[in-house]
Amino acid sequence: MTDRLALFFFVVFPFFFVILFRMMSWGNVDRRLVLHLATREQDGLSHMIINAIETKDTLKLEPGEPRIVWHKDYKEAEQAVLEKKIPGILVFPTDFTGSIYLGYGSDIKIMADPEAVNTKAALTGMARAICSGVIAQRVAMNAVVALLIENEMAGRESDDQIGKTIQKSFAGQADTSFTGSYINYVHEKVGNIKPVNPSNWLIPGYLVMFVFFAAALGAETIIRERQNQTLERLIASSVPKDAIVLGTFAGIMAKGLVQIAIFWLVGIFVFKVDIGPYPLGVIILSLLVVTMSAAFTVMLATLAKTQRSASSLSVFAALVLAPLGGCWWPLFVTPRWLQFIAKITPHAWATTGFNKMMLFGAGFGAVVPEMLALAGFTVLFGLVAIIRFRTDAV
Amino acid sequence: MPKEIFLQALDLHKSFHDQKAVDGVSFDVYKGEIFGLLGPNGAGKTTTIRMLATVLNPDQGEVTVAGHAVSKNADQVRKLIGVCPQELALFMDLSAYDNLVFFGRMVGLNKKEAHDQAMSHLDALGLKERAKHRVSKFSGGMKRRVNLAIALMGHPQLLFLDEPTVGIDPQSRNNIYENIRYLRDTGMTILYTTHYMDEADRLCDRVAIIDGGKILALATPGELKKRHGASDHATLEDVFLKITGHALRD
Amino acid sequence: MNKAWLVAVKDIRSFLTDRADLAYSLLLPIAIFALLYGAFGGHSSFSGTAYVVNDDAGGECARLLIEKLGEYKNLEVKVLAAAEASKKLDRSDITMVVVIPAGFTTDLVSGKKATLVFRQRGNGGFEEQIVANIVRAAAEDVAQDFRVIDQVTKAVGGKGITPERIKTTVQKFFKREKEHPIVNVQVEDIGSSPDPVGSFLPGILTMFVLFSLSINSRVLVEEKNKGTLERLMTTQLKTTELFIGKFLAGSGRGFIQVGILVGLACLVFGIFTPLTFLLALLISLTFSLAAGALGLLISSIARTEDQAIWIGVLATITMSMLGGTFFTAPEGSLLYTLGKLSVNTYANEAYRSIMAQPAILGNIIPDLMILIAVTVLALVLSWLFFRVLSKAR
Repeated sequence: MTDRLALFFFVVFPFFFVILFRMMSWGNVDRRLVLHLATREQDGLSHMIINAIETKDTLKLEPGEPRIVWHKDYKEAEQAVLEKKIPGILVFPTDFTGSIYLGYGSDIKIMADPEAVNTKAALTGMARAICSGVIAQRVAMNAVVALLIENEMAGRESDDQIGKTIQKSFAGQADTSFTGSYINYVHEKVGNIKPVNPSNWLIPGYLVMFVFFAAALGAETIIRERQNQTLERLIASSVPKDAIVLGTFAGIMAKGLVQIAIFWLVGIFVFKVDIGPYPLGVIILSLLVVTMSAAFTVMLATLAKTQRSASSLSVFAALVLAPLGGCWWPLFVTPRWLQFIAKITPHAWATTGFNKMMLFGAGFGAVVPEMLALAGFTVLFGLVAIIRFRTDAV
Repeated sequence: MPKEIFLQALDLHKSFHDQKAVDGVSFDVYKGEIFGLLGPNGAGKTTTIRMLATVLNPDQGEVTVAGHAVSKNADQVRKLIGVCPQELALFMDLSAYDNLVFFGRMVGLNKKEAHDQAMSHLDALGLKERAKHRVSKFSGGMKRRVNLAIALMGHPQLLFLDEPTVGIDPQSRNNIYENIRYLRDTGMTILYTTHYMDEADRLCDRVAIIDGGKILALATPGELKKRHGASDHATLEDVFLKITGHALRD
Repeated sequence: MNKAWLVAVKDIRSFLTDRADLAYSLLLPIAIFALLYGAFGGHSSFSGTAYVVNDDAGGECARLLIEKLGEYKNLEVKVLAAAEASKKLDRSDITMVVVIPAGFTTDLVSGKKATLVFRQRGNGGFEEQIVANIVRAAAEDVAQDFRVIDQVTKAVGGKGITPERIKTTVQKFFKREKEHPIVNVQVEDIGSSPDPVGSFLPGILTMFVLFSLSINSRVLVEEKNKGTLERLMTTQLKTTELFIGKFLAGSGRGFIQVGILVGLACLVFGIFTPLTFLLALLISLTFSLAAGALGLLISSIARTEDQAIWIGVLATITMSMLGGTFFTAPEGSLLYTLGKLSVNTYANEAYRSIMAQPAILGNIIPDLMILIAVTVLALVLSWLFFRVLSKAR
């Protein structure tokens, strides 16, 4: 408590990161999806399709309905993608109509910036719907023709009649696949989107990292006591070994408790963190983080031989375990295999628990596995510490 | 034959934050003698040594070594001196040999000279077999001997030994005594500080007793005992306690 | 100057012979780079979650719709109870729920228009709008069977063709289309591909060199406090020589570290040509000088070893965050402006410029000049604060 620089580092400094990340303007993400379309044909089926789905009046768009823009000049549109003015575009090829009607087949192309994964997904979804519509039309036509020919073969129909029936059935309906849906899509707005508060995952992430880091660096203090034989002196005064371990542990825990109290108070009142519907769960998880960190510290002190190796190990542990465990970015944005590997770190369990409760509103029961895991780590570190605890200096 | 003054300290004063550490200390050290500086904790011994060794500038007064004033010719003085500080000033991640060679190069020796002197000193101090081992693995006594060996690199003409035997076993201490006597016999001038009175009695040609930053007495051990001793069997420790008093310090 | 060189060589030798320190300096950046690469390097497809409330329990079409959604790559489907979904929407834990109302299947089968409800906040969120797009496509897929049957029935109505015959024929043609679709979707990336190595490698390199040097500044403080430096002052070593020697040691150590890492990167990823490799070494040297000077500044300011560590960690993490190690700040933003205060920014820019395209020296000269200026400034400040003797002594 008297080391002001340490106090600054472990209490004030983490909020500096929170502020930095918040400056990345993660705020309101309620912008409407805009999809860009173009065709290389002069006329034909592609024109009909785009015309059917193009947004003619943006004011009439339902909430959540994408705005669809038709770029009449294909070359200009392609250039805009290359210049990153638009992220991507759906393009019908030159011979689209002929290829479809003559049965050769065709491809609808999505041309996009490699990093525009969202745009690619959106345009692909649209393209698949268009393909579905084209296929449906083709199936309908083929089925009608097949059935009529069957009828002709059964003597119930003539060639002329077949032609007229087809013409009558499909004239002007090329685009109906795309407007005459059998499903009515209703958008029910229950409110506005609340601006995303990145502090909701930043605060817990940095809490876990810095509580762990502060505790781990405390291993140096224990080793210093070991080396200057203060620890030995305690034992010689008939203080039980377990009491020394517990006392050391309690001291580190006390420091951690102060840290988390400050983190949450500042987080809630200054950064407007929403701790979810079950604050008790968040508190219990925080306590488990502190306990686990304290146990790790005592264990580290028994493993490291010198102060220098203790500080190196603690910095190493903090700098590898923190990003792996979801302290720097939420684990759910990483691939599943990495989320799986992260489970070897106590950090991952802690941040997952916090995210479940604070970002996804999970109940107490949903985070019991995470709490049990943290308790397990605490027991493991504590056992190693007690077994290895020694008093002889290096 | 008149003795040659090798080191002269003239009216030295030094204060730290209004605390007077050295208050008008003056003495001469003759060439080839072992001069003891005795005093209780906080008497000003180490501060005095640091001023003599060109590390600290006195607030007032002058130090002269072999005719060179420290204030004007510090570089010249450094060529003549070797310092064995009270604390173990070693590079713990280097071997004993590497420590000696490094400091040897710092005092101006070339590669071969540094190597030869390092091996010679390590041999004299019984560390030849452990020359290539890291100092961090040494016992306290061995570290003290390495600390001394470093001070001997470059064959200084004046050697400052600030409590060189504190906290070590009798064997290591005896080894150091033998080396100190040998060095004196080769003509080296030695300024020695210690708390161990028997050590000062055995080794020193003359002794100055310092307390409260002032020199209280200066003579040979025999003369001091004769002058201040309560009886014929008075020891230097008795004399010391009589002069400095029994009050606790620091 | 020879003595300055000896001081530098001694410290560099200590670094190279300390296996733990060496491993730490090399393995840690490799571990973090691997982590970042794994987390974000291969991530090139959309991933989202579709929250669905199925009030048409037992309905075949509802089941089919959920099944079709599950077939989409990287789309996770979570079926929620209505009450739970409402609660989550109220709390904004989620921003959109797809509700399949009761009677969805019945309506579709009977030829009536079915309803699908998107309950959402605002527009639903950007990701959720894409999910909605996917849901619509899947729903149309489910509905198209019924729709085509209806269309065909209307076309051939009154010609004595049975509904079963119509259904069988339609299904046969759909099956053929599924096997050999007449139209497909092709995705083409145009423009430069994302380069995870180019994105992360420079930041990791610069971060860990700075980190290593700033942590190592505690050693100089330790030497000061233990009196080893003071002892050196009783030799013929001048203070300026000691200062220069420590600076060279720090910079040399940094250059060795980053040089090895750049070499490894070259071998593993093949990202350098001979010319760009030399340029990378030049950038590494310049940055090492700046980092060495900053490390020296830290050890000049710090009074204890613990202070040296904390100042070092603080300075490194701040400079790395601002310098674009993990993310690039949007141009014109406050973060972008603050980033100009970090040495890492200039080194990272220089590395990226030679990695992304064939580069010439002229492109990186401004960055190198700034790094040199920082080096000079840090050295001047260090000299002002540099004390061989500990204040406590």
